Order: sequence, then C-alpha cells, then structure tokens
Amino acid sequence: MDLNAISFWVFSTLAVLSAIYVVFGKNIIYTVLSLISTLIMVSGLFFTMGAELVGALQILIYAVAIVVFYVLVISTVPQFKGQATDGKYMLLSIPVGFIVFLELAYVSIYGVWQSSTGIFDEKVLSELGNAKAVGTMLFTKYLFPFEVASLILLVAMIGAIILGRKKEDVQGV
Amino acid sequence: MSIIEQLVTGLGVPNFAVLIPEIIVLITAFIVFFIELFTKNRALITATTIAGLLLALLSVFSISQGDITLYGLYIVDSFSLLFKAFLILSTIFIIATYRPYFEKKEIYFGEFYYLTLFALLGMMIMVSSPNLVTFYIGLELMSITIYILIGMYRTKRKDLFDYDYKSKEGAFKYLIIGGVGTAIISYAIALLYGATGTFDFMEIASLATNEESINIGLLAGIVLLIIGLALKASAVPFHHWTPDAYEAAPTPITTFMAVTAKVATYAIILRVMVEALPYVSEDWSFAWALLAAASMIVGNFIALRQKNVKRMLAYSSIAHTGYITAALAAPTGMGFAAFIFYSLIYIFMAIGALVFLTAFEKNEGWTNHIDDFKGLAKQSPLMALLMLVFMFSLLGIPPTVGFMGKLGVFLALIGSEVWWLAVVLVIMSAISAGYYLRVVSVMYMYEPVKKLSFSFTGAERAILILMAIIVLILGIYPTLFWNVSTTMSSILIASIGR
Repeated sequence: MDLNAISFWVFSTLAVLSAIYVVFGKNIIYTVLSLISTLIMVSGLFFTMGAELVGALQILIYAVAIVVFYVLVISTVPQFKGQATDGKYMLLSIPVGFIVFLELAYVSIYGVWQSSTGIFDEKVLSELGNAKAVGTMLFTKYLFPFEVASLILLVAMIGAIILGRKKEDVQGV
Repeated sequence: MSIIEQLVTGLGVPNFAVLIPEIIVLITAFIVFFIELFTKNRALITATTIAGLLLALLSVFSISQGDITLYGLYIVDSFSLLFKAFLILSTIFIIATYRPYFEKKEIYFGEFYYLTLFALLGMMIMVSSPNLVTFYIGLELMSITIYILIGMYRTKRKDLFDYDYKSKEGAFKYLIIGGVGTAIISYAIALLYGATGTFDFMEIASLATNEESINIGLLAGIVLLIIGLALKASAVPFHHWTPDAYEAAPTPITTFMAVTAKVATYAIILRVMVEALPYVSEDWSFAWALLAAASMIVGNFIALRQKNVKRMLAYSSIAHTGYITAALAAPTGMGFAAFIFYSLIYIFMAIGALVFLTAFEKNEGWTNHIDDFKGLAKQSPLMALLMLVFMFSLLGIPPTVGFMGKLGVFLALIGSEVWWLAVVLVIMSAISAGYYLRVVSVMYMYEPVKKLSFSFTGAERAILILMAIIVLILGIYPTLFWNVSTTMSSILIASIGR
C-alpha cells in the first residue's frame, strides 16, 4: 500500500465519521466543529487526487469563511432554538437528502465525462496545473470583473461599518 | 509557446480612452471619500460630487469612437453611451436634493455621496456589458450599494425613530429578496455557460440560432435569467420588496432607486435579450408579456388602495415596469424603440414626482399622506401645478410626454398583433387615473386641513420646473427623443451577429 492509498483511506474514514457526528450530534458547537473537520478531510481528499486548487479553495472558503460565519451566528443568537432532537423531521429529510444525493452523483459523473473540452484540455492541464490555469484566466481576460469585485467588497465594508455603528457614536458628525 | 504566452500576447493594452466617464466617476468617489474623512465641509462634498459628475457627463459626449475593450468584456457603443449620459444626468439632479433633506431629518452622512457614485459606477458597467460576467458584477455593485443606502436612515431625532426602524426593515427585506435574485441570476449564468460554453452575448447568440438549438439547459438558463432580471426591475410577481424598500428609504434615495437604478436595469434587460438571445425571441417575448400584464394589473389595482403617496408611487413604478417591459412582447425595431423611449422619458416624470415629495417632506408635519395634499393649490400654487403636470404625465394625458410613451408601446404591440396586451395596457392606464387624478383633485378641490408653512430650496424649485418643462416640451415635440430611440434600436438590431 503506497502513501497515497493510505492517506486516501485515512481522510475518507475521518470524513465519514465526522459527517456522521454532524448529523447525530446533540451539542451544536461540537457539530459545527465536526463539520469543519469533515470539510478539511474532504479537501485532503482533493489534494490526494491532485486537484490542489479545489482543495485549497475548499479550506479557504468552506472551512474558514462559511463555518466561521456559522459559529458567529450561533454565538450571537441567544438561546439558539435549533434543537435537532425532533424525530419527525427525519421523515422529510431522508427522502429529500437521498434525491439530492442522486442528483449530485449524476452531475459529478456526467461532469467528469464532459470536462475534457475547452481550451484547457487534459494535456495543457497536466503541463500547467489547475491553479495556474485558473489564475491565467482570472488575471488576463477576467481582470476587470476581478478588480470591480474589490470595489464591491469595499462598499460592503463601508456599509457594515455605517449600519453597525452604535447610535451614540453618531453624535459627533 | 506555452498557452499562457499565447493568451497574454493576444491581449494588448485596454483602450482607456473610451473608459474616461467610468474613470472620472470612480476617482470622484474616492476624492469625496477622502474629503469626507478630513473635513466636515458639507458644501464642498456636494460641490465635488456634482463637479465630478458634470465632468463625467461632458466626457461621455467627447467619445466619438466606440470600442470593445478590456479583453472583450466591455463594450462602449452609442447605446451604452446614451444610457450613461442619462444615468449621470439623473444622478446630478438627485444629488442636488440630498443635503437639505438629510440635514432636516438629521441623517446627514458623507457616505451617501460616494456610495451613490459607486452605485452609479455599477450601473455604468452594467449598461456597457457585452458579457454575462461584466453584467453580473455591475449588477452586484449597484445592488449591494443600494441595500446600504436604504438602511441609512439613522436619525438623531427621537420623533423619527419609527422611520429609522422601518428603513432597516426595508433594507433587510430588499437584501434578502435581492440576494435571492442574485442567486437566481448566477444560477442562470451557470446554466447558460453550461449549455453554450461561453459568457459572451454574441457567442451565445451564434449558438442559439433557432428553436431546435434550444436544449433543456439553455431554456432553464433563459427562464431563470428572465426571473432574476424581473426581480431586479420589480415586475410582478417578484415585486414584494419594492413598496417596503421604496417607502422606507430616505426619499432622495427612493428617487435614485426608482429612477436611475431602474433605468439601468431596463437597459440591461434590453441588451441581454436582444444581443444574447435574438433568434429565440418568441420564447422570451411571451414571458415578458406575461410579466408585463401581471405588473400592470397588480401594480395599478394595489396603488388604488394606497393612502400614502410615496407608497402609491412605489406601486406606480411597478405598473410602469409593466408598461415598459410590455414593449418586449413585440420583439421588433418598433418595440425596442418604444422600450428605449419610455425608459428615457420615465426618468423625467419620476424624478419630478419624487423630488416633489422630497421637497415637501422637509417641512414639519408633512407625512406624505393623501390628506396632507388637501388644498395644496391654495397654499403653494406653483408646486401644485408642477405636481399636476407630473401626475398627468405618469397617467399619460396628451400634452405631456407620458402619453407619447404609452402610445409608442401601444403601436408597437398593435404592429406585432399582440392585441390582448395592448388591450390590457389601455384598460390599466384608464384604471391608473383613479389614483393619479385623486392626488390632483385633492390638491385643487379641497380646503387645507392642516396649517403648514412650506419652504423650498432653489435647487428643488429649479429641478421641478425644469422637469415639468421637459415633460411638456417632449409631449409636444417627441420627435427629439423618438429619433434617438429609433436610431438606438436599429443600431442594437444591426449589432446582432456582429
């Protein structure tokens, strides 16, 4: 068994175990921490498969940004009402979850089939790597939307400061 | 040569000469940002903003040669230049009404000025996008800025705290519903990309050439794109944010949303539909016809029941979305010309009616309730006369330009034999008389209830008089704008398959 196979089994086992705890855990903080663990393990799986860009984005966006947002919401809402102990939701969530799973499985397998078209075919990708290919497009052709996105972030930051400021502080204007 | 070298050598330097209006607006925004930081001189902030906008307006006219630049992601043609000129012009009028209103309500922030400029920049990017990515990013810059502007009614006056609360409520509502709209549009873009493999309008058009070329992915993308755009233009049944957000925002911001943001949205609706999906017009024209009919019916009937004139104008703007998008039910040169013409004249009518409310809301005791209008003709005859002109124009009575706008849409619908929608348009215009004429009759036929003393600034008077004059002149001599609209529509059609 080579190192790649070992790491695949380790990552996938941990991912499945922590995903099970996300579903069945009772303490909401522990489930969120377990969700982070699942996401990091999945990004590890991406790395073992050589998709280094998706793995890095997984850590950056999901594990850092989105889960931190969840923790923030849970800690700011007093007496969080999200009790997961009620069994009647199972009736709805299991079939819906299964349908979503089927759809995702279909889309992923179909996507693998179709992904070898476009200017970055497999030969180019093996030369360049994913990160370089995306970076090339982002900083050449799509530079302008990329720059304007920074303006959107600036505006959102200004807005958060204005709307989130305490009333008393406004007096000095 | 590696693929990176091939890409980079094919790019070249962007043509910055055609981007001057955007660059001026952006630089003005940052200058205002820093002025606001270091001095509290309010006159200087207003003057800088307006000077920058005037400069940008002049630079729009200095561009004689259009171009597609920024690596095919930005188009400067006469269509985008025309709309940019009108967007900047309307922003100048609206910004001139900012300071007295905000000072009276004690909600003055320098942020109002540069956030408005950022929103304007987003609209300018939006109207000159030949590509779904540019369009999306411009739309987001506009929308996010407007969510913030609605919620900025942070007053220090205890008696206005209710308005403060409502403004947050309206902003939150728009944020949630607008966020859903953004999600829908991004999903639509993903589906269109999946179906065609490109973001570019022209390339999408070259792939969707007839009914057979439409597969399920492309169709879903088109439907979701129409839903998302209808939500941003507040067409029924996606209008639920509009009355609350319009009523809750500070009135000059309502004007900015109802006029500038809406006209930019109309422009991009026309461009996406005509440039990206020209050969499948039968599909989207029927969708827009349904949305237009629903907007006209629901908007006008609910407006009849409103007691608050600001809320009534919000429903009236929903109805106007109906009148304007009805022109898309006739996907011909005539229909597009009517669409452009109505979008342009809507600027003057709506600025007039809403700046009127801005001017009156500054006076103590004025609540925008219909009873406040009683006997206005005796207390302030000039203002009452101006409001009469705007109400007649929104209703569409002949000497005003509103009639010409509706006539254009009507004739386009008749020309394409969409009889049912033409009939709906005429009946709904007749019903809208119920609420527009009520404002007029209350002003002229009642005795004053409250004793209010009114004072207006020179800028407000000047803007209202100017708008009324434009509405009347264009009503008598519509050829001026109609020629421009016809030219634009033929340019738009000629650019298909470029």
